[in-house]
Amino acid sequence: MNALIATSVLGLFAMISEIIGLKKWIWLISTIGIAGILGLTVYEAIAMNGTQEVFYGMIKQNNFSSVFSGLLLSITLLWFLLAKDHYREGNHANPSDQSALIIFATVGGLILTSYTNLTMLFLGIEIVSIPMFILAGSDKKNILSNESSLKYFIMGAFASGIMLFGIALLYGATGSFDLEGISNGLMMVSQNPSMFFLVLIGITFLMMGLAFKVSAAPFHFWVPDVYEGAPTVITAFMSTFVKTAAFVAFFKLFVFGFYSFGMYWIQFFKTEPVWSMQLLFLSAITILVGNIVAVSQTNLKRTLAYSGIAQAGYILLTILLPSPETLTALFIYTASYSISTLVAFTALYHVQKAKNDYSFDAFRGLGKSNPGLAVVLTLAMLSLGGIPPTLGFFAKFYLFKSILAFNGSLIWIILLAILGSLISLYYYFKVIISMFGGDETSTKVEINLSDRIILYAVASLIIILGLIPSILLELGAMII
Amino acid sequence: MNSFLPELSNVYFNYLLLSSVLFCIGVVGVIIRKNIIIIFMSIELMLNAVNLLLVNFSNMHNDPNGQVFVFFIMVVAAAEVTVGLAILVMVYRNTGSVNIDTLKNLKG
Repeated sequence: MNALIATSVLGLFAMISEIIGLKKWIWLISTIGIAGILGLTVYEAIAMNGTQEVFYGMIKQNNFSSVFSGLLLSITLLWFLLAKDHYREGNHANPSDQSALIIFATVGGLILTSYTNLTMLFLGIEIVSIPMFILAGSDKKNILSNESSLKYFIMGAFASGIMLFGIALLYGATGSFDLEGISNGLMMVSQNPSMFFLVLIGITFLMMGLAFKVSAAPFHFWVPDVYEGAPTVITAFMSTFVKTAAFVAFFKLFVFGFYSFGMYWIQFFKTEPVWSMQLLFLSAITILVGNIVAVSQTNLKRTLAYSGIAQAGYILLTILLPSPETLTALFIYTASYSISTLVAFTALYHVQKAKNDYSFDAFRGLGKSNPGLAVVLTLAMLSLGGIPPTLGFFAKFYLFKSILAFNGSLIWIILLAILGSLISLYYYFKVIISMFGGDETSTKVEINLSDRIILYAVASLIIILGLIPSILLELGAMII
Repeated sequence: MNSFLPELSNVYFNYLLLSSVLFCIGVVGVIIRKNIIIIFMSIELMLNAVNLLLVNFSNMHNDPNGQVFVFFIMVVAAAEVTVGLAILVMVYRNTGSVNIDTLKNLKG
């Protein structure tokens, strides 16, 4: 709760810092501020006993929210560290506005980890989305950025509308916005057939709205365009922070809201609940579409967008089969995906800035001219592809293991996911081959020393956490 | 075994139908219209259909929570459309048009 207030205050401070003449220091202020809030979250998590309710029980802090708040704040912190170059003078006109919007989006993310009421779910989603609409268009003179922003806005508002309709129908059926109240109300509904169709349509609409936000197919069509048009640093934030926050919200809703009704459904109708099948379908089609379409892309930014879609398909499996182990898997997988993607986008940012080109051709000969940057990007790609000894391998392994441990009859979806990973190796290796293969040399990409050190340090996390996964495992085990 | 939940009686059901129809008009508007301002209006129509539905259910359950939620939606919708119009002005400055078909530069 204090972390939430502190983040809001930091955001407001970042907003007025331009007026009081702190524009030059805004990067430092935001980074230290977010690091302090991360420390505060850790301290609160250790000091807290049990759960703490605030806002009349609409937000509840427990281990779940603490661990995921920590994850989201870490992502924001890593983003600020890696985006240092973006904040240098001359690279961006409004650094303080940008900082403020990123921090406000972080507030939304913190709400999404701790909500217990659908009002807060809606507010959290909007607080994350609205700053992102603006940030996607922050390159005002660039028509691609404008287009990206407008598309994101229309699709985001549309998805919110659908989600709200789902919330309204669910409220009509159960008479409550509270997750616990919904869970109890759904049990009553099963004895009241006139409400039953409201529940089914409501849950489906909620799922559609959230699937938009996590960019699951068939609601993914906006993702590549928006990711490509937005400034690269913003794309990095969108594809990591926003996706992680939306997944946490998705998981929380389906586990704490609908899980007991699903159990009841299985006993009563002797079949899987409808939304389980829908989720299975979403996940299967997301894995296939994301991986197959990514193969035909010619630039890295779009490839990473499709890779993000494909990874969303794997993460959706944890929502389908909620158990303590898959919850840990959700944590580890989102952490691994976020770190790798942030590193990949930062490398892309530096190359794009130097060569004004983000197609695969721009990476040709990078292994000779910038071996350090090339190795970092290779590490990120290997981690996204799930090659040992990187973190991505462990995350994928643990995810598939936890799902099979829960339900062995779903082996086919695991096989499909492994097939998807095999396809994904093709396009991840395409980047690596274009960097190291061939004899051409390219012009050297100049990167500031401090940026280089930060980038190497974050990239080394991929290896360190991959070799010592027990750090993440222990954190993940704390959630339950 | 009868529950404490109210039945979906005729009046409430009619409101449900009305707001569903409004919502569908909004969805169709977003999908088929080309003018960005009309698309914004359609999004507002979707949100207002939800508001109507919430008020209806709030009445049905005798529970004020639904009506409070409506205020949240109104506030957020206002903020959202402000941002949307700002984006639209930015687009208009660069392209001189509010037609969604002028924005076709991102493809893959």
